[in-house]
Amino acid sequence: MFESVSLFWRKEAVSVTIREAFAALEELLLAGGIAAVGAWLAYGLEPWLRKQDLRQLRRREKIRFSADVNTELPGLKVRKNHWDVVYWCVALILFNFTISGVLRALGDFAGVYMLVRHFFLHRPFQAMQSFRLTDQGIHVWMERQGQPLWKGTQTRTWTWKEFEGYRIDGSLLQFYEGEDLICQVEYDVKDYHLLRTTLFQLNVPRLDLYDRVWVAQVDEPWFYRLEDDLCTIAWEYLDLFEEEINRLGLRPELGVMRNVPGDRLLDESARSWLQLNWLDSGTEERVTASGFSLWHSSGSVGFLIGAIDQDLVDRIAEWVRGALRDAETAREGVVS
Amino acid sequence: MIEAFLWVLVLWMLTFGGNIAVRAWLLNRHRARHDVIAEFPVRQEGEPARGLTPLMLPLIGLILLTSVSSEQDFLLGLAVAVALVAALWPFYKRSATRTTELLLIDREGMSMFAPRPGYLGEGTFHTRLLWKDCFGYSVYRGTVLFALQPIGHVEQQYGEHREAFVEVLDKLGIRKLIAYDVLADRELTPPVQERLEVRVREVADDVIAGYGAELTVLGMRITSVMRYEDENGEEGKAVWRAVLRLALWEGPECLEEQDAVLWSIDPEARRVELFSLPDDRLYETLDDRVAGMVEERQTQLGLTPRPLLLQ
Repeated sequence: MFESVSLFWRKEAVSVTIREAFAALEELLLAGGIAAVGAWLAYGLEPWLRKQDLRQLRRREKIRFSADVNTELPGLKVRKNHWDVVYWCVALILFNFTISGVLRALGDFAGVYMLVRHFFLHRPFQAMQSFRLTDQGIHVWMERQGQPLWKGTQTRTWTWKEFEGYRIDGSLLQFYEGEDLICQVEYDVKDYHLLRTTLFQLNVPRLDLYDRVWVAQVDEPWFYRLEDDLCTIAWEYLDLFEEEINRLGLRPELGVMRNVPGDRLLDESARSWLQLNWLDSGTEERVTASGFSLWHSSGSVGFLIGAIDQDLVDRIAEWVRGALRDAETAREGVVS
Repeated sequence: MIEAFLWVLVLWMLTFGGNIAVRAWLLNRHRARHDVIAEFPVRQEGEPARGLTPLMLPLIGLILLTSVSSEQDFLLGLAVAVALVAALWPFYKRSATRTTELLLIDREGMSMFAPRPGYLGEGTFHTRLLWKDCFGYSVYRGTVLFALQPIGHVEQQYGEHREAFVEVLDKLGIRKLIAYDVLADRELTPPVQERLEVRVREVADDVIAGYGAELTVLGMRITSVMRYEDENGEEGKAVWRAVLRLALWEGPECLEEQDAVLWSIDPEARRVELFSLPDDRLYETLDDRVAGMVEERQTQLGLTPRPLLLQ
């Protein structure tokens, strides 16, 4: 191998004919073509594989919620490093001009393989994580992150029966079985409401009444509307119990309380809750009081009430009934 | 022989030497484009042990170079060049490019130039965080956690430049999400403690002076006193604390007391919680406390009506 060296730039070297140059180019294209196909098969097949999976899934089950999430942080811009390309291009050029024979073919193959691999490693699909919620369960396609084909696919499937319930933690949707975390996927923050509605319709139980969310995830106007709606619902429940309340001689006082002024809802240690006070209708003395927390912030994360629709209405009804029972017991304690 | 030398030089530049050149060029370009307010070099402690594997690629390149020509001159040139690179290697290893991370802060955002311990093509040179994407920050154990909007956290180490870094962030108006910094033991030195105490005392005095009129009407006064506590919390753990005690006095009788913890040291867990806020929020916090005390007293005496609940 080492005898078949031709030094292109040396003055006393044999001049390179056009024919030799074309032969070198042919070799490069052949070896490079094989290398490109090989690297594409190893690193670039993920989008096509996912599409095939999804097509089969759509035939089998009914998809209720679909999400394709880019798991890279949107705010942090990481400038990609393309100096690898320079390195391998220089290596290819030097190889073609200095060495010939089998070694050169191998060099061409390696160089073009690395270039195509670099191209596929920096495509946006490497950071995409998809999941689909269907009637039967959840299907997750984890992000590839540059793993070649022989590392296997990252698809997981679970049915709803395998989970005890779900929790929302920031931008992560977590499914639990007892104390163990079985499945964790990332969802788009703008899908927060749609996701909860879909899970409610699929009858997946909620493990916590509150979601732990990033403080910047809370939409303030939406939260103020929610506060008003919940206050109205709670008052309607109180109206249902009017006779009993009058019989006990109590007067209810219900409203949304906050411990910070309006525009500082997202500050550290800001709380917002429904406060229900029972006052004696004669003496205006407070008999009992109880609260239903809606929002509790700790600066960077907060606990936001996460139940929706009928679930939430049921919980508020339960709370009002519980408060009334407490007031009743307090009253009876006084009387007897 | 010159050729051999140039070959080795090109090889070195393409693998490791390029790090220095490219990083310097990127830094200059960045400084020319953006108006940099502050620069912090953060030294990374210790380097990950990589053994001989980083040298595989240059070694392969070198072996292939020897196959270019078998003339004695050429090989001598190669040997000389390799010896030179090996002699300069320790200096390269300890250079700023390999060990120090540079933080450049300007009005629109912050750029982080990471240290370059690998090849030219590995890793990233430049990462940027724009302030409009940043919701706030908090300090935790040697790093500043930037909360991004709407989700995500970015951790950035600050080395020894905590106070300067936090000062620049406050000047730029980025909100501090959590008032208490969690720091390592050794970061709470006596100068730091003293500066904090002096600052908080001054602000407290300002706040109390602001309530002069109301207090004269009520006939009371408020004092602010520093207290140092050494208490045993639950499970008998010792905790050392410095507390600012605001007390409402009527004559010789103390009606109400409020404590604001300035710093607390947990010697077992080797952690310190330090109260650290920009000046305007510090004033607001103390003002809220004093206002709360004064208003409660006023309500008790029936001077101000009680606020109604929202219905």
